[in-house]
Amino acid sequence: MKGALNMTEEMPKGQQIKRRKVDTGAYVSVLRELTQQGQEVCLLISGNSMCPFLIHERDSIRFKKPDRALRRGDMVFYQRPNGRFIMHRIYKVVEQGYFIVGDAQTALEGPVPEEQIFGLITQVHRKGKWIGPGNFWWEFFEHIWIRMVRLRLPVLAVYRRLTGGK
Amino acid sequence: MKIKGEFVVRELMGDTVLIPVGKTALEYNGMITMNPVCGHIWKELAGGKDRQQILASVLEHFEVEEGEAARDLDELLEKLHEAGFLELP
Repeated sequence: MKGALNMTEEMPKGQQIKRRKVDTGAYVSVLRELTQQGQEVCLLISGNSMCPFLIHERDSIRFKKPDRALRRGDMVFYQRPNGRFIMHRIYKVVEQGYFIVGDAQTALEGPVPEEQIFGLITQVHRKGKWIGPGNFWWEFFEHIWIRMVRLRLPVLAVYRRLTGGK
Repeated sequence: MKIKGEFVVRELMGDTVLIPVGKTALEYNGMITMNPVCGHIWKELAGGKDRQQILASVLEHFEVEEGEAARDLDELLEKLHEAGFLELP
């Protein structure tokens, strides 16, 4: 039984359990199953498509099965027909589903049918703090940034220059 | 002994994994991967068994000498306690 425990991602302080990464697809599949059973779960962000709101391997999301009609600005988790799991933001609701875009992107994807969406993000762990509706940055990206898709490239260029590309 | 927090046990790619859910997921980001013996012990802990009952269960289900099983069980319980997942009496 020695060395029996392994831990992925973050762990509480003072413990000596090893960390390792696992296959994201398999893990998200399990998380999706749990949300379908009514659980709320968390996942570390992987990828840069939600930058500058959420940063790769720094921030996390908390999500659950959608329990209300989805609307513009919502961050949602969905699975593409090729099996890939994606977490982006709803840009527009149409009859056939949703047009979706990452906070770092300018090209819309869609319409994504409702049945492909399995998670609604309820909170994010950003810069070491859990935030949700009511937080300035949460509201900014949900209501303002989503309306600035065409202006994003020049704004992001300035942002990258100011932050040194981080 | 009492498990602290809310975890769900699942099989993932041949491993037994503990996934934090609900409020516990806000504190522990990620999952805990366990070997079959650890997974068995966790399920017994979740079922409210005490140390002696768990040890008996391990001896019944796995080929291991009692002294070694007892030492490893204590080590694991201590590890779980240190990680904040288990309240020891």
